Amino acid sequence: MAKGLTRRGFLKIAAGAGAATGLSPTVRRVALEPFVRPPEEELPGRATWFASTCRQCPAGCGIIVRVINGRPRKIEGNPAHPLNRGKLCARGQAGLQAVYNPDRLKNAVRQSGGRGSRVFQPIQWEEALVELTTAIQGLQDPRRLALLAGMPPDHLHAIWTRFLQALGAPPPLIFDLHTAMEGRAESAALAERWFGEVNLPIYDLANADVIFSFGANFLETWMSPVAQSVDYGQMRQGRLGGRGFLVQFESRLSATAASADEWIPVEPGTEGLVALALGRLIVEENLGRVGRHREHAHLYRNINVSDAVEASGIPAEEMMRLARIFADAERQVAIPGGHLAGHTNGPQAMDAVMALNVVMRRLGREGGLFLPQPVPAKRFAKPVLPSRFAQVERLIERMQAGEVEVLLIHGTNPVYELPAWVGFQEALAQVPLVISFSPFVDETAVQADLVLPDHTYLEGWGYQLVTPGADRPVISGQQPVMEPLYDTRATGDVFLALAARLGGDAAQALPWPDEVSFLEESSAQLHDNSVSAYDARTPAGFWSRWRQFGGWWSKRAIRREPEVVRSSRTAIHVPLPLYRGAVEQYPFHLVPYPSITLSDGRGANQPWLQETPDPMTTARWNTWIELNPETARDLGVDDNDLVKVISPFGKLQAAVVVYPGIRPDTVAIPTGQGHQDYGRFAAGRGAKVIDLLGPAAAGEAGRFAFGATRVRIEKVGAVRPLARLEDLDGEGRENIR
Amino acid sequence: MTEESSARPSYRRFWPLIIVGIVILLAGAVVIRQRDASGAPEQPIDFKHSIHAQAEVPCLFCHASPMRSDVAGIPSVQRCAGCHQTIKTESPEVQRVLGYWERAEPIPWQAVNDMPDFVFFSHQPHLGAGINCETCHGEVAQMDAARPVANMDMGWCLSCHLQQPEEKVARLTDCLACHK
Amino acid sequence: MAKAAKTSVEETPPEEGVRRWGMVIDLDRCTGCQACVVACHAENNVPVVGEEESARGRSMHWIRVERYWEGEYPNVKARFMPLLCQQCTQAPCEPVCPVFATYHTPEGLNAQVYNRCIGVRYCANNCPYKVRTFNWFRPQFPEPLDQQLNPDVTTRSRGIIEKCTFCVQRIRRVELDAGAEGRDVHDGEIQPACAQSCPSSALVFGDLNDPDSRVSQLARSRRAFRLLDFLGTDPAVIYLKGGETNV
Repeated sequence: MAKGLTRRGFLKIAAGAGAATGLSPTVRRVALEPFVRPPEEELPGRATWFASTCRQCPAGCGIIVRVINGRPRKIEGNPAHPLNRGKLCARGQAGLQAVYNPDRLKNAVRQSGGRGSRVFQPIQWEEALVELTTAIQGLQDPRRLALLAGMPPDHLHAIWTRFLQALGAPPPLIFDLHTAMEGRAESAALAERWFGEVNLPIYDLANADVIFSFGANFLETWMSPVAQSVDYGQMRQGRLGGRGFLVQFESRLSATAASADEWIPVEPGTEGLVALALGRLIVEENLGRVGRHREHAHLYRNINVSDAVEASGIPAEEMMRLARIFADAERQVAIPGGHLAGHTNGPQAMDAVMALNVVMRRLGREGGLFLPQPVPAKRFAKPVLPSRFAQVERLIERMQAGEVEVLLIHGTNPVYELPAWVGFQEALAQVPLVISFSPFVDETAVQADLVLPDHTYLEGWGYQLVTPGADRPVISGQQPVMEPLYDTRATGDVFLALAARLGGDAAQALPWPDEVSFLEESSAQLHDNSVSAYDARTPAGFWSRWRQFGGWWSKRAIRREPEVVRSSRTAIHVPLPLYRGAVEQYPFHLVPYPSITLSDGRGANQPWLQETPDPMTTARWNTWIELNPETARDLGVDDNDLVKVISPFGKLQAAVVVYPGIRPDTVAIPTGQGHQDYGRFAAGRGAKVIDLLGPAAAGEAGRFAFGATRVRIEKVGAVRPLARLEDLDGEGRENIR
Repeated sequence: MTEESSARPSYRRFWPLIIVGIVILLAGAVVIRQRDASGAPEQPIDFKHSIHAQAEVPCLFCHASPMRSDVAGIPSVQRCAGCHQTIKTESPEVQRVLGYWERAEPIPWQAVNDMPDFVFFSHQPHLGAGINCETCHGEVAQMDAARPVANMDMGWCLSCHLQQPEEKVARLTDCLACHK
Repeated sequence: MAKAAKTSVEETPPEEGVRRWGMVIDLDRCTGCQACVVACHAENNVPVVGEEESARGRSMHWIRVERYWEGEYPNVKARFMPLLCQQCTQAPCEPVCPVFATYHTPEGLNAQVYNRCIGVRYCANNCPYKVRTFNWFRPQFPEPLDQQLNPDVTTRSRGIIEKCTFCVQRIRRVELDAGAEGRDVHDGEIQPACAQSCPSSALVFGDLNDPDSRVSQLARSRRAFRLLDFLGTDPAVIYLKGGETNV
């Protein structure tokens, strides 16, 4: 044993043993390095709390961060924040692992080995800025510059918009898979059709006594899950008026449906038909308070309830029972969710759900539906929303045609998040200069020439208009809770520096030396506002209160009653959903759903989120395929058996989870895994469901129909045990292998 | 495990003993190298508590936070420079302190007393209970470099906690009062 | 597993002026969202073990959300039940520890003194709730993930058992601060990380010996039950049955 041991090695072991035998307190040297200049608020040994904004998803929850010795240790919900009211979700808690991720980029880099080589060479920020300036100056036409971003914080959007406008380039294009799968753009379009306003409606879950949710996983990832969960708790047990009743319409029992009182498994894409039939029954049978529906009769012209019965698989008497539950309630609300947006009939389906609220006169009523009150300052008035998918496709066409010379990518990972059929990666090859602002080497950064890492959100500044979810106007403020760990640079500052170098209109449009002065000036627009939750005598004092509170909000709830602008004489027509893949060859509907922990894949590099079990399957660290027990039996597969899922556009392989809560004609696969890059915790793990998807059916181009692909399943004949929490023997003991 | 080693079990039995012996010797050597005869650790500056105490600088002037925090606090370089930019500037040790200040570097002071990681200790409740610094840290005012006067093991902690008023003893001797 | 039994939280007569920390978990509010699980990892330096070890049942969550299926498609329901140390008054884990590393505090916590633990795992085997986890390997916090560690909580080493403490470091902190201000601890002032984060406020923490505390009020609900109550463990965690109203 000791033969092969060198003397040096032995001494190391001996020293280690010394520490382990309890001698450590006397022998270890502990240096106590004091501050050179102590920060005013810092008391040694005491935590300092900073208020900021979570950026793990676009909801904009207020956070407070516990900082000890200059290092954030814990993120909690900001109790004063009107949106999340002191609460925070699993993803929000895990934000520390974005900052402290061991695979972060430590400085700006050039991919010196060429795109895809993964050979990155550090460059100076000065060099990066010079290159960027030269590239923009060298553009034949400013329209050959494009910026593609995931839902950005509003201040950054404002800076970009000014910058691109001054150059004459197209405005920033917003796409990420998370907001695509929650149907954010479609929800705003819905509000525009009905209320004449591009905005996101607020559903008053806390005070509703009957909630009909059509594919809205509002307790998981949809819109503002924390705020909605707070309201849900209130709806369940938090009020004197009794417990609310939740009915969830969707083909797969989501974690939200698990919390519902009833789950109605409809065929994917027929949710809108069901909503339409329910409305028709209410109007036709004069359900609820008699005599109030005449004016809405036109909405339901030429509707045959039996069509919906046939398409959705819900029997007629069941339809009637549900219609009565909804109509007989006092404070009912119907929610059009993200799954609807993933079908070819998405907009019409959402119309049909919205019509239920209109028919029952739930607009502007307690437990009904509201529109957010705008923040009373020009700079914060308009919410940032994702672009229409057609615009993304248009950009890709232009890239393919060589019409884009410089592409800037921030806060999204399109190479990973866009389905293969869109051809983003191929189009990217036609762009001479691709610059990513990602703090991590994700799949898109691997296809970029330069990566100019932004700070992570706990190191950076910003603000974000909160929409939807809060009962009042809210701007969530973001401020650094620590010094940046590495030589990264705020993307806002990069654009301001760029504008100054470019001079001319750009410099005039962006005269601020850094983003902090832009933020301070923006905040001043709300100074002396009569509805402020706080005020200060001077703008400087106001700015300091802003940072102390973590943003600005109104001191009282202000919600607006929407006014219907849609003509009540225009009937709603929900066409049957169209699917890609012939039913004979591809007998199963594919339901990709956003993982509650990893979301669209952005959480995959955070080990806490990987290790946290999926609430429904309790699986971790991998991708799985959910099959109805009957379907599994027919296919001859069981839990952990590998199967291939094949669509007309791609295939993947993963282990089966036999899942009692899914239609026999449907398979569900979570998003989030299947990364090639994105660091040690994400790369080479599981499969990517998005690549199975195809373009929307003919005539529906320009839609991201993520729920409209059919697949077939083939048994592989091998087993791949999933790391499930419940993978225990009947006694709850761990398996001995 | 080779055949050879299992053939001579009696010899192998001594290995742990030998290793433990060597470890103790090594550990002793490390202690001696790091601390002078009085037990004070070697400090980056030849700081004399006694001189400051004679000048009637109270403990809390430099170690400012024990009334409000878990730790007493090592003075910031700014706190040292605050006085020494004008006082005793001719002393070479003071000039070294000012060197740190000018270079904006922290002074790497060595801890005199150290708690293991599984112990929770807070100064605040102890001072709040009316104990003064000297009770645990000794007559630092008489020392040049501070040295530990108690070994601060669990028995030492309990020797005091057990003598508290009867109604407090159960709480003060609960493991979780100090273990974390 | 969950068996609703007639519950009386007064089984152990309260001592005058002594707290008994307890938690009420309202299953009607719980959405299974896992916020508590990650909050606990962050607060208590709970290590991550990776896919392979997780598959062997060696994950280290101090709180987990169990999911139970009821019925068959299409009349199928899933129910969630957060499970953490039940802080039993008659704790089966305590008498089996050969070194007194696990013991009962005067305030009703079932405590684990890490530096005493020798890793025999008798306690984990004797725990009917399976809430004690064992460090099979040295926990890994690849740099700079180690900078996140909460200095108020020990980082455990290989070969020892760890478990939920009701965030005793937070209890201690609030008690010390209240003591320094010369006042009592208010009800609701102490919140373990799980209860603090819970979006739907399913978890409520407090003093069961104070009849006016929120946790005591909720524990008197007719929906209240305790997990495996028939074992006589006298848990300090009280569940409220889901799907019903209190009246």
